[in-house]
Parts: sequence; structure tokens; C-alpha cells
Amino acid sequence: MILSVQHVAKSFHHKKILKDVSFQLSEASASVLIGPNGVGKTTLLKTLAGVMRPDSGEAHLVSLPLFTENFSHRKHLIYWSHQSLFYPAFSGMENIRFFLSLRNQNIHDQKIIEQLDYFGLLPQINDPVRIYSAGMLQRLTMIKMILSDWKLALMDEPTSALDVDGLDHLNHLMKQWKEDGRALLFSTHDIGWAESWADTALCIRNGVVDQEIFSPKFQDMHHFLSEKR
Amino acid sequence: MTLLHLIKKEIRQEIRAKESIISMVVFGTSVILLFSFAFNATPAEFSRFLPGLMWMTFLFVSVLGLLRSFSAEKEMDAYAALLSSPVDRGSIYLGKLFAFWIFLLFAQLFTMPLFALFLNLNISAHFFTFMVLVLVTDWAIAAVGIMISGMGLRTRMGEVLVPVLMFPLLSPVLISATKVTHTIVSGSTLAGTNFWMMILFTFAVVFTATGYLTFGAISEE
Repeated sequence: MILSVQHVAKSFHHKKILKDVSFQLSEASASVLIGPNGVGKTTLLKTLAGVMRPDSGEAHLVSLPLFTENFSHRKHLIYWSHQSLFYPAFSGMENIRFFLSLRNQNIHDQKIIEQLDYFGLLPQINDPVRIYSAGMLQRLTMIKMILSDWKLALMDEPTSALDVDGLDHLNHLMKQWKEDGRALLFSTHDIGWAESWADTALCIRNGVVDQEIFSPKFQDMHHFLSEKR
Repeated sequence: MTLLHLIKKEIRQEIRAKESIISMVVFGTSVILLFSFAFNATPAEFSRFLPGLMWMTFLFVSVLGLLRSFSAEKEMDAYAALLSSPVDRGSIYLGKLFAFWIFLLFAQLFTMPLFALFLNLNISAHFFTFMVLVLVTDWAIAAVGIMISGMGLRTRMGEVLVPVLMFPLLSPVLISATKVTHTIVSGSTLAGTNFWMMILFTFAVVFTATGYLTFGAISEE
């Protein structure tokens, strides 16, 4: 078991967004969070990533408690937000180098350059990421994911702003990561794409995981989302 | 090691963006020039209120810098990436604190001679004590300022929060620094400044420890 989440609750301005969320993720698995807008998918991902503090509940990452002041085992997870999470004044290379250094990973610049080249970002190697397009930033995020060591990826809308080529890269990586035994937890509104990758759909409604669908099909997820309407 | 990476990141970012130091220096210079033209006083009269004017100026200068200190974290939400990294929140605080302390000292390196030039600041009698005073007072200002800026990071009224909370919290620091500076400028004996220096040191240590220990709770959503 890579991740175990028990009774996680989180509220904003006295409004309970997550009431009692519990689920588990195993190695080499991909799970999709589905639910209508505002149901708490991003809140859940941010809480697990350490960006938000839960009001209550527990989570264990590779059997180690996640919501503690010991942050060292957070090296096992990586967070892909729908925002790009880079320093705008730094180049792509500098951003990657900095975030790898925080994970105590010293990677030779040549490896970063190879990835920038592969993802078509080499011409912008010295440009600040402030001038990158949304799709370019998503590619840079993929490079960060490739070069980082992790066991669990928390991905919030990973397909947004990706063109066909970028989506091909992501699909290739999803396959690779699953084969490597890593766990993926992602949210998306593209349930067609989710069907291709998810082994489980965690359907969130009223602040809880209302339903778990194994090997989810497009129709199952669409049915759940339609019910809400 | 992580702390060093965080400090280097802050400094490199400032070198790139040139957002904090330039605005701090320009603002400080403008205020000093305004003071020198607005007050028609003799050097003896100036020495009475110069210490207060000087530290008030540096307080405003520091607010300007602090308002920019988290702007790069907000623009693309890089702060979320910091929080999701295996980095303890205390190190994030210390990295920002140390970098801002450097920026404030750097801004003073440019503006302090202007105080001497236009407002007759004379520290030659106790130069070493003055240097220690500046280092400690700046650290105390940075310790409180970064803590409050971090608090404002996740609130809607974050930019208003900085001066509103910072000025009352830093009043003991400002009073102590002004008292010591007054003794230095007047050239009299430093015997009576120990009490004020103790307040400054205590403030710097207490707020650094508080910021280090509470920064996670303060800056997470």
C-alpha cells in the first residue's frame, strides 16, 4: 500500500468541503478523482500534497504518517497542480535544478538539457518561464516529474493546456510510471482520458468518497456525474 | 544544505527580477531628500530627531521590500511546490529571513550615506556599535516582517496585513534602535544603551524562534 487516507476533513470559511474522505492506493495503480466542480478534488490533492492542512484525519505514505512536522518522507510524493508551480523569473533549467535540489537530488545539467531537448524546450533554455505558454509549462512539469524520484504522483488536471503532441508525451509517461510500479492519483474532467488510465475512479460527492468504481468505463463515470446534475 | 539552496534561490531571484532592492533604495532616497528639504533645522536640532526619522524611514523601506518578498511565490503558485517538497517550513522561513536581511542591509548601504550627506548623520564616535545596532535591528525587522508576510500569503488582505500588524509589533524595536542611535549620534557614553540593546537582541531571538516554529501553521492554507 502506497497511500492510505482515513477520515480526512477540510473546511473553508466554516463550510465543510471534505467531510470524511477515506481510500487507499496501491503500487502500480492509477486512480482518478471525479466529481463536479467545487466538490473538493483540488482541496483533497492539495491537502495530501502538504499545501493545505487538514482539519482532521490521517494519511500514511509508504506506512509513514503524512500529516506531521517531519517532512522528509514527502520525497516519495510529487505534486502536479493545475497552476504551473515555477518561479517566473527563472529559466526552465533553473527551476528544475532548484526543485531537484530540494529533494536532495543532484542531477547533471546534461540530463536536464536532454529532457528539454526531447520536449522541444531547448530553444527557450535561457528564457524565464514567465514567457512560456501554458502548454510549455506543462511540458516543463513533465520534465520535473521525469527527473524526480517519487512513488506517488498527485496530479490536478494534468491534461489541461496540452496539445496533441504534449498529450502523447503524457500518455507515454503514464504507461511508463505504472510499469515502474508507481501510484498515480489524478483529477480530470476528461473522463475519456481517465478511462484509458484509471484502475479505480474515486467518485466524490458531499465531501466523501461516495463510490469507488473499479476499471471504470466512460459510461459509469458519466452516469455518476450526470446523477449529480 | 536545503537552507543554502533556499537562500541562493531568493538572492538569484532578486538579481533577476530586481524588484525589492531597487524600489527600497529609490523610496529611501526620495524620503531622505524630502526630509532634507522639508525641515529647516540646524545640525544640532537635526541630531535630536534624526534617529527617529532614520528608523522610521527604514521601517517604511522594509515594508516595501516585504510586500515583494512573496510575490514570486504567488505568481505561478511556486509556494505550493515548496510546501509539497520534503522541506521543513522552518527552513523556508529562515531562507526568506536571511535573504531579506541581506536586501535590507544592501538598501541601507546606499541610503545611509545620504543620511550623512543631507541630514548630518555622524556615527564616527561609535562606528562599531552602530554597525552592530543596524545588523540586530534589521534582523528583528526581517524576523517579524517575514512572519507577517507569510501570514498574508494565503489571505485576501495579505498586503494590508503587513503594515497593520508590523508597525505595532515592531514598536519596541524602533524605540530601542532610536534610543541607541541617539546616544551614538550625540557622541555620549554608551553605558545607558545596554538595556535597549538587550531588548533588540531578545526581540530578534524570540521572533526568529517563533517564526521558525510556527511558519508551517502560518503559511499553509
